[in-house]
Amino acid sequence: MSVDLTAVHPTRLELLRLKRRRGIAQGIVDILKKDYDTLVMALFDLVRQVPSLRSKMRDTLAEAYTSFIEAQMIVGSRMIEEVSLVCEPVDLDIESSVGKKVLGLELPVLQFTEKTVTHNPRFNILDTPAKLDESNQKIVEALDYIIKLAEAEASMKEILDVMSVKKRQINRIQYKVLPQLDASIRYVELILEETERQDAIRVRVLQRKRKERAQKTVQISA
Amino acid sequence: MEIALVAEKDTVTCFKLAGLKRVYSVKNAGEAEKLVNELLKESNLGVILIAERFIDQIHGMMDKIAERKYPLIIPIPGMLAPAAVKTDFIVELIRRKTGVEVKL
Repeated sequence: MSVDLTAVHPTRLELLRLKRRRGIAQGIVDILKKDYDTLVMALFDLVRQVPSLRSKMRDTLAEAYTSFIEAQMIVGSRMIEEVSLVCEPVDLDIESSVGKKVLGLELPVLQFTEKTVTHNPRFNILDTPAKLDESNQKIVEALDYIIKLAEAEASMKEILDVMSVKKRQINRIQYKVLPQLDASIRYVELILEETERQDAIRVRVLQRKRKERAQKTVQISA
Repeated sequence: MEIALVAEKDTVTCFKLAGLKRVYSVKNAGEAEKLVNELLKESNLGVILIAERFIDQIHGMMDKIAERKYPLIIPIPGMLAPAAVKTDFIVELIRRKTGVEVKL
C-alpha cells in the first residue's frame, strides 16, 4: 500500500496521533459491520415472507379466475364484458406511511384503501350471476396480498440501498484507510528506531572521544 | 398512489369488474413493453401489476425498476395458463446489490 510519506512527519507525536486514528477507524469498521449484519437480518425477514405471500396471492387469484370463468359460462363473455364497460370503478388506492424502523431507516408501509363504498351495487344484480361477486371479492382479497408483496419489495429496495452504501464504506475503511494508516505507523516507527540507534552510536562515540581527551590531558600534565 | 394493471383481455375484464380503474389490455409482449414504458414515466403510480407471461419479454425492466423506488412491479398470474417466470425481480435485485443468490 503506497503512502504519501512526505505528508507524515516522523515524530513521536505523529505516531501517537496515527495510532489513535487507527483505533478509531477500527471501531468504525466494527460498528458498520454490525449495522450491516442487522440489515441482512431485516432483509431476510422480508425475503422469508415473500414465498407465502406469493402462494396466497396465486391461490386467491386462481379462485377469482375460476369464479369469473364460471360467471362467463353462465351469462356469456359478451354480457360480462358489457357489464365491465358500464360499471363504475372503485377508488382502490394505496397509501404509504412510515412503519417500523431498522437502524433509523424507515421502512414504508403500504395500506390498501377502498374509498368509495357505494350503497347501491355497482352493477345490476339481476343480470349478473353471483359468481361474479365472488370473483370480485376474491380479486380485492388478492389485491391485499399484492399490496403486501409490494410493501415487502419497497422495504427490500430501501434496505438494499443502505446495505450497498454500508458495504462500500466498510470496504473503503478496511482495504484503503486501515492499510494506509498501518503503513504510516510502520514508517514512523522505523524512522524513530533509526534515529534512536543513531543517537545511541553518537553518544557512544562522544563518550569515547571524551575519554581519549581526558587521557591526553592527563598525559600532558604528567 | 394508484394501481395499474397490464394483462391480457380476460384478466383485465376480471380486475375491472372488481373496481380497478387503471387497467390496460394488451395482446402481446411488444404492446406490453410500450405500455409499461409509458406507465413508468408517471409519478403517481404505486404499483404496476403485469401478467407473468409478459415479464420475461420486456427488455431492460430490471434496470428500470432497480434504480427507483416507485412504481413497484409485481408479476401476477394471468387467467391463461400460468407461465414459468425466468427472472424473479426480488432475487435479481438482491443479487445485484449484494452479490448473494437468494432462493425463494
